[in-house]
Amino acid sequence: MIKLSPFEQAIGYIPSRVRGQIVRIPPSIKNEVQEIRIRIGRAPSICIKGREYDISEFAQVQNIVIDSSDINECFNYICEYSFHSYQKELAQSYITVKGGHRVGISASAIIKSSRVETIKDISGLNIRIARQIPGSADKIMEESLALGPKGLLLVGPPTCGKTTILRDICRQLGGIYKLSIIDERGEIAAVYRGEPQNDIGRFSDVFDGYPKPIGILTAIRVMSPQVIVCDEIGNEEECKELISSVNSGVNIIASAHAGSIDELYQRKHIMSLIESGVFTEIIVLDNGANIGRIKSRIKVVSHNDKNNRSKHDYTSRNIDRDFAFIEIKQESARA
Amino acid sequence: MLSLRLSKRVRELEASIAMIEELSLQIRYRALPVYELAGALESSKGLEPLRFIGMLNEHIEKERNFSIAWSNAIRSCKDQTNLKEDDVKILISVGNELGKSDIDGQISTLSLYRDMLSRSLESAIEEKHNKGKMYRNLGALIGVGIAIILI
Repeated sequence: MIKLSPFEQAIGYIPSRVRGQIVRIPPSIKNEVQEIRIRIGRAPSICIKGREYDISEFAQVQNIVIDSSDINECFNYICEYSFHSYQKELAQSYITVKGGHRVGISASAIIKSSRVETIKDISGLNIRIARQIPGSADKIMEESLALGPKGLLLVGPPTCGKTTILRDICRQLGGIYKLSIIDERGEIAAVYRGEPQNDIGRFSDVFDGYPKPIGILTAIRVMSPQVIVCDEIGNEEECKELISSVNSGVNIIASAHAGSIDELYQRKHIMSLIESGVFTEIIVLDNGANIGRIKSRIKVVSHNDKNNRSKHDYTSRNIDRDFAFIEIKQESARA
Repeated sequence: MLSLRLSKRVRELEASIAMIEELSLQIRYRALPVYELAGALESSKGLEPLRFIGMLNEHIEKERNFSIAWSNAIRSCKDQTNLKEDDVKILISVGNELGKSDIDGQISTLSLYRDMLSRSLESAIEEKHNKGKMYRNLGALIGVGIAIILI
């Protein structure tokens, strides 16, 4: 069987008349495409290094305007003509398709008991192409995890490569340690019919589709992992389970949305995780043209360790907390 | 021959109801996508009288749109079925509805089709009893008639 590239996999979900245009993009550009977007009443577009472009900027194509039949065709492809199989995902406005590509859906919400029960009238779809980049976590492995696993939090804005790096950390650490991946959105391992589509390391176990709090608890109970990896943490329940996992002696490697340490301060549940000692290091990632680069490495130390203060630059904002952030001086390098 | 066709229609309708129950089960407890439902039906026991089920995967490979593939599979086996046109229409409608709503919606819709097929089954059983007997007696009479002519 021919193995399709991530781009080729992703365009398989695009409506046929749009696909005919996208395939005409030069191969070098195809490799750079992060997202493909279609919106009703507008031309299809692609996203490269955080910027959005019309397809016509890269290929000689007639301008087409997306209509509702294109959206319906694409939606049927992504949910495999099976609305009933993706209820939970639709309520969260995304579906992860084969290959780990996440399709975001903008639509009208149907609310029941103050919660989004489902969606209707889809107006746009965004296919985010998942790529496995072996070696993308080399720098982090070398500088932060060389002595073994530890509590590590990757933070960065959307499309900065957090999941790609997490996936590579799984591949590298999962070849040495017992590692459990709580893959709620199916983007890390991209399990399809029980088999991970990505290389996630031979000692890794995947809890696919599990909500993170349940997945963490189950993994600890049944797999006795040395490391737990999960993507995009942030809500109260997830953070509570992560805190209890620290008492089980498990190292947590996770990612969270935040453009900077200042933004991280605004996320109180994540701050409570840090305060509980779940993470000993925070890595802030860059995006845009510097996608995947380490912006800064922050060491988390409790106030008991402050006798090291003179060697480092303390950030001034955490004086009133039980811990301190120390920026580890380093050269800006690709993660 | 005609009596046999009536019996076969009953068996096919019974299998259709069993298929609806299998679909409801797989949707309620496993939320299987439609393509996987087709595979589950193929490996289910007791659905052999429905020839189109064995053709589903072949048609899915040719046609990505599930309801079209389902309908094509049923039409491709039209010569091998003893179902009436109305029964066939119900089966095609089942394929048109699969995957179009959430789990509760699917279960309600399938329950509706189950009721429709149950009514068809009742009338098929009645027809088998009434006409079957008549066809058998007619066959016996014709046999006796031929025997008399030959003697």
